[in-house]
Amino acid sequence: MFKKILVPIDGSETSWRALEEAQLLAEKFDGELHIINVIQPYNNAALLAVPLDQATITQGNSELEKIGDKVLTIAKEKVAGFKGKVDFALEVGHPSERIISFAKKDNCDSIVIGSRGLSGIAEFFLGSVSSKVSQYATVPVLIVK
Amino acid sequence: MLKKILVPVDGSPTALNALNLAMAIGAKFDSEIIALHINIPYDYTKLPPRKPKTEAEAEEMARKPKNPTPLDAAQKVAAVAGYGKIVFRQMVDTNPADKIVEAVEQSDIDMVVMGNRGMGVWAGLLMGSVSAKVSQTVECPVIIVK
Repeated sequence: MFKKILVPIDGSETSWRALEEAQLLAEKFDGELHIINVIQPYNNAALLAVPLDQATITQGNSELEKIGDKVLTIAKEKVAGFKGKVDFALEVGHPSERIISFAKKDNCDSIVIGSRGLSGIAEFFLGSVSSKVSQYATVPVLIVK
Repeated sequence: MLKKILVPVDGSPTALNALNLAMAIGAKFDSEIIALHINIPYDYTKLPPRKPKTEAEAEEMARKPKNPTPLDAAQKVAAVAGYGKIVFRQMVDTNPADKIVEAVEQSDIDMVVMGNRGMGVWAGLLMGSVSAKVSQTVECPVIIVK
């Protein structure tokens, strides 16, 4: 248990707290951390206003990837003091779906996730990533506030 | 850091999985585990068995092992693991989620470990499950176990 912990982060305050908690557990249980950031294309309302041609999509995606890379760089700094193995990955797609399939593919035995991410109050109406992950993942999910 | 872990149990296998995970974590952090069972009065999903019609049937029913109560089952699991720092509590209330949240606030709980789906399969579908409510409401970290 807690040998391979998946930590999905999005750069929000709660996701950093989740990372801290995961680090603590990984140290105690001698496990490794798998940190992923999922970027979601076409999430932008602005994208709906412009014609969706391939050029716009690629431009939007590369923009998002830059942000994702930055989030992972901050994460790298945060886990600098961690002794065990750490993996980083950038995934593209629907967040909760990507997180669950990544956990399966990578054989993670637990997921540590922040309760509320960047979308904040919008999740109140749309259903949050963390509640979807906790309902559909096959491994224990730790929800950090 | 993790001084007190709350494990709500309802007699379902996932709740016992949650207890096992809580004990695994508790062993590392040397924490106290509180196993809490909330008894729902007038729970029609747990009707008593029907009365036996014949003598033979009565004998048959007496021979069948009775289902252990949720706390008995939890006690058994804790005894198998040999975990000492554990207390068992029982409450009666019609709303388990509210009681769990209340218990977390009252007893300064640092973490809740619970199963994602307990006894109420249909109620869970219709009214929103206890684990969803608890994980959204409480202030401390929550582990949802399958």
